[in-house]
This record gives sequence, C-alpha cells and structure tokens, in this order.
Amino acid sequence: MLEFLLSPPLLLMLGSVALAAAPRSVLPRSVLRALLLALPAWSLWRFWGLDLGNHLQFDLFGQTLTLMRIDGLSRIFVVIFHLAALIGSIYSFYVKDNFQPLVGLFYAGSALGVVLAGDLWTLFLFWEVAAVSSALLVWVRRDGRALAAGLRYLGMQMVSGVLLLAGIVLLRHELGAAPGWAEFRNLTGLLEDGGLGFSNLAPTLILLAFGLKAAFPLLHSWLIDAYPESTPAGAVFLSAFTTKFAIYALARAFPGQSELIWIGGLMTAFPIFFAVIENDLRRVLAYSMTNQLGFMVVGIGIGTELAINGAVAHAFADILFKGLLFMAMGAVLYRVGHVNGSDLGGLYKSMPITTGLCIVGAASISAFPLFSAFATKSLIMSAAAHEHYFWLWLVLLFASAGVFHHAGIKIPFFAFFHHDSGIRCKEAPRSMLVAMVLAAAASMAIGLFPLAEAAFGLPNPFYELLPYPVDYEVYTATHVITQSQLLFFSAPGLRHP
Amino acid sequence: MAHHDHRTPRGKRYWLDSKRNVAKVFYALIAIDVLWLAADFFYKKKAEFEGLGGWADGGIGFYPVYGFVGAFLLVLAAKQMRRVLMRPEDYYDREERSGSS
Repeated sequence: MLEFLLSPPLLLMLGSVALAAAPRSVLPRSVLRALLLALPAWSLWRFWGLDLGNHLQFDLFGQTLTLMRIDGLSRIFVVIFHLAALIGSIYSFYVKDNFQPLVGLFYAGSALGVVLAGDLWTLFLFWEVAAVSSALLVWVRRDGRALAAGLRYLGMQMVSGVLLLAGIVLLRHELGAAPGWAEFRNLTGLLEDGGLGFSNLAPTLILLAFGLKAAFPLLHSWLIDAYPESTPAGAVFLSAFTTKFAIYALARAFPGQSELIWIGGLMTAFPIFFAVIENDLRRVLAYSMTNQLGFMVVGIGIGTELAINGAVAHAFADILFKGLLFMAMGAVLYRVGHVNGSDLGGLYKSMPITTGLCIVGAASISAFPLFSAFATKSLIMSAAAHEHYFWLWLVLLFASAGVFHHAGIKIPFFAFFHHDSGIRCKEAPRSMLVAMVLAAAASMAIGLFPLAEAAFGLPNPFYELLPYPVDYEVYTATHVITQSQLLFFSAPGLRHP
Repeated sequence: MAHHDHRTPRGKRYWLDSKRNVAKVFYALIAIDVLWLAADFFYKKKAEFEGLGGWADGGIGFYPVYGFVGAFLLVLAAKQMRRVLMRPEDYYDREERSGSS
C-alpha cells in the first residue's frame, strides 16, 4: 500500500492535497513552501532508483491495471515533469497564496500518472484528473474572462476524455478482452489493414482524443483561448503538461502513423501567420506552442528511432524554453498589468535580468547554435531529410524561420526594446528570477552538452535519457553554418515592406 | 497586481535610445549576414535531396535565400491576413456587454 502512495503520481497528488488541508497553525507558509519543493525532488529521487518494467499492478473489476510502467519513453517524461513542477512551484512563490503551486503540483502528479500508465484504463483515469485540475489553473485568475475561458477549456478537455473512453470501450469490444500493453504501445499496428477512419474506429477515436490535447489543427483553439487567460504562474504550469503528455501518448501508441507527418507539418506552418499579427504576447506564445508541437508530431509520424528521439527531446526542451518565455511574459504581466505588444517597449531599462533570460528563451526556441532546440529540433529535421520528405522539409525550414520571427524576435523586441513606452517598473520578484535562471540554465545545458561531447569527449546526459541510442553529430560545420544562415538572413527579411 | 508608473524617463540615456545606434545594430546584422554567406564558399555541404537541382541543401546560398524570402513572404501574407481578421482589442468584451445589457 505504501509503495502505491509513494509512487510519483500519487505522491504528488495526495501530497498536495495533504498540504492544502493542513492548518496554517501547524504548517507555516515557509515550511509549506519547503515541502512544495521537497515533494517533487523526493519523488524524482525515489523514481530514479526504480528499475525499468512494470510496477504496482492491481486487479480491478476483473482487469489488471498497471500504475507504473517504466521504459525509455516514459522515463524522460517523468524526469522533465518533475523538473517542471519544481520550477513552476518556485516561480509561483511571488504570490502569498499557495493555491497555485498546490494545484500545479496536483496537476503535475496527474500528468505523471498519464506517462507512467501501463494500460489504457489507467491512462484514461489520469487523463481526466489532469483535465479538471488544469482547468482550475485557468480559473485561478478569478475574473470573468478566465472563468469563461476555463469553462470552454474544460469542455474541450472533456470531449477528449469522451473520445478516449469511447475508443477504449470499442477496442475492448473488438478484441473481446481488455486492451493490454501490446495494443496500447502500438495502436498503429491495428490500423495496418484499413488506415484511419470508420473501418478502424477505435484507434481513430483514440488518435483524435490524443490529437485534441496535442492541439491538432482545428482542435487547437482551446490552447490559444485558455492559456493566456491564466495567471503568470498558472500559464507556466499549463504550458508544461497537457500538450506534452499528449505527445507522449502519440509517441507511445502511434509511432510511424503516416497521417501525423502532414498533420504535424500543418501545425508547424499555420500558427506562425497568426502569431505575426497577434498583439497579446502570451497568446503569441500559445500559437508558438502549437507550432513547436507540430515539429514533435512530425517526428512521431516519421517514426524512425532518430525521429522519435527528436520528438521526445524537443518536448523536453520545449517545456523548458516555452516555460521560460511564459515566465518572462508572466513577469511583465505581473509588473505592468498587461502584455500587449503595442503598449510595451523599453522595459529592458526596468527589467534587465528578465530581458536577458527572455533572450535565452528566444534563442533556445529559435534553435541558435549553443541553445537547446539546436540540439533537439535538428533530430526531427534530419529524420525528415534522411527519409527524403523534401516538401515536408521545406515546410519545416519555413516554420523554423517563422519561429524566429514570432518567438525569437517579436517577443523580446516588443516587450523589452521597441520604442520606449515610458513604463518604469521594478525588476521581476526574486522567486520568478530564480525559476527563470533554472530554466535558462537547463536550456543552455541541452544545447552545450553535444558540444562538450564533441570537443572534450564528455558524456551527454541528456541524449542518454532519450528512448533510443543516439548516433547523431549536432555540431557539424554544415549544421552550424546553415542554421545560422537561415536565422540571420530571415531577420532582415522581417522588416516590413 | 501592476506596480508601475508611466512617467517619461528623465536623466539617464541608454545606448539604444539613439537612432544612430539602432541603425548600427542593423548594419552589424547585415555585416554578419555577409560573413555567413561568405562561409558557403569555404566548405562542402552534404546534400540529402535531389530537389531544386540539388541546390536545396547542397548548393551555395540556399539557406540565406530561403530564410530571407520566407520571412519576407510571411510578413507580407500576415499583413493581408490582418486586414481581414483584425478586431479591436475589446471586440469580444463589447459583444458580451451588449449581450448582457
């Protein structure tokens, strides 16, 4: 029983409930905050000591459920979800109210439940818990807009849950038995005879359920709508989990599903046009998230070891650099009261440290050499090239230039540079700065590890975490020069005609 | 939540407050671009594609041209989209207010 309670999902979920229920006379704020950090740290330490394979199986209604199944794919998501919970908690200490980090920790626990689930029923259970707990993080802003956006958000998350449930029930009916691990890990295999559609309804419904949370085109509006309505800390937690465990689920169940290549390609390209004309800088980041998820979906669709490694590595990096950008814009929102690009500018004078950290996030997402996406997105680009998807590769290249525009230049330029708006405010609170420094350092480490490996023969702990062995050289002359050319030449192209 | 004032800055002038310095940044960017383009003449790329007569990822100047033209067309297309799609900042708030009144 104790082993169940101390598993990462339940430890974080039940731990956050216990901390919320404890009277303040017993648990002063400083102790509570120390425990908020100790819980995910301890959980990660315990997890690291576990062997690969099935853990914590139990029978329910005649079915064997597996609370934890650890392999190379789930392990890396468990690691990054713990780190995201830690960084998000530190960031949220700028408010006296501890409700946000407590809900964030609970939500992180449910996300861990999704990526550790050893069967589809367990996955469904945590899928739904994550939907409800994340909606609370939209509502924490406690105004009318957030309330309405949260309701719309919850509605869409519930649609995903219903699709997933319908798919699982149908699958059980078709198989004549509960779908096991073999079916879960390769729903693509069930599709071989007919592809997606009514003839293969069960896997198709499950793909749609996953796709809704991964923000597939036309199913993505909840993300753009809800995330920017949350508080600064709420958006940081939200940006880390739901879309990324959807990516995990796709990588687990649908590797090599060819439709995903074009769905992902579309996801990389269409949001960048909207990001160019959007004025709310956190909404720009939401479009940017759809764009980055597109790269991951492409990688899963290609399905080779290099491509899956790329998708997973990019999900890991995205949690850090997108979190960093959301944190920087959250700091601006907290200090200035809005993040309208047209009404900001010149904030580098008041918030120089936040400016510097935001630029690290911008360089990371733009895939500049030495920064994280250079070492992650390139795996996906190379996989597309190796498999000779020429037109897809051109789309991804265009999308890469587009990312540089809206996230690499627009976000830092409009918030911190541009014309001086005359706004003078304080630098971000210390807790925000500490969290941003951690995310920035991790983003740079991911970009620097392959260089240290090539130059000094040092191990690359990040690549060692990936599900498949990595035989890929990041810092080649061709890669450094062509990527720099793409980015530096797109900058003058962005000057309005 | 917000802790700021909107007083016009006085006293300290920053390096980027000067338009001449902003122009210097732009010219520095152009200089860097020229250097990156020149780099293409000093090494041999490994091409993956036959597309565009092998120029796509094996020829000189493909990435600079693609980056520049892609970004240019992106902004051009987005400007046209803005004409159709742009709404005032309080567009949906106004609808809500008029709906509730």
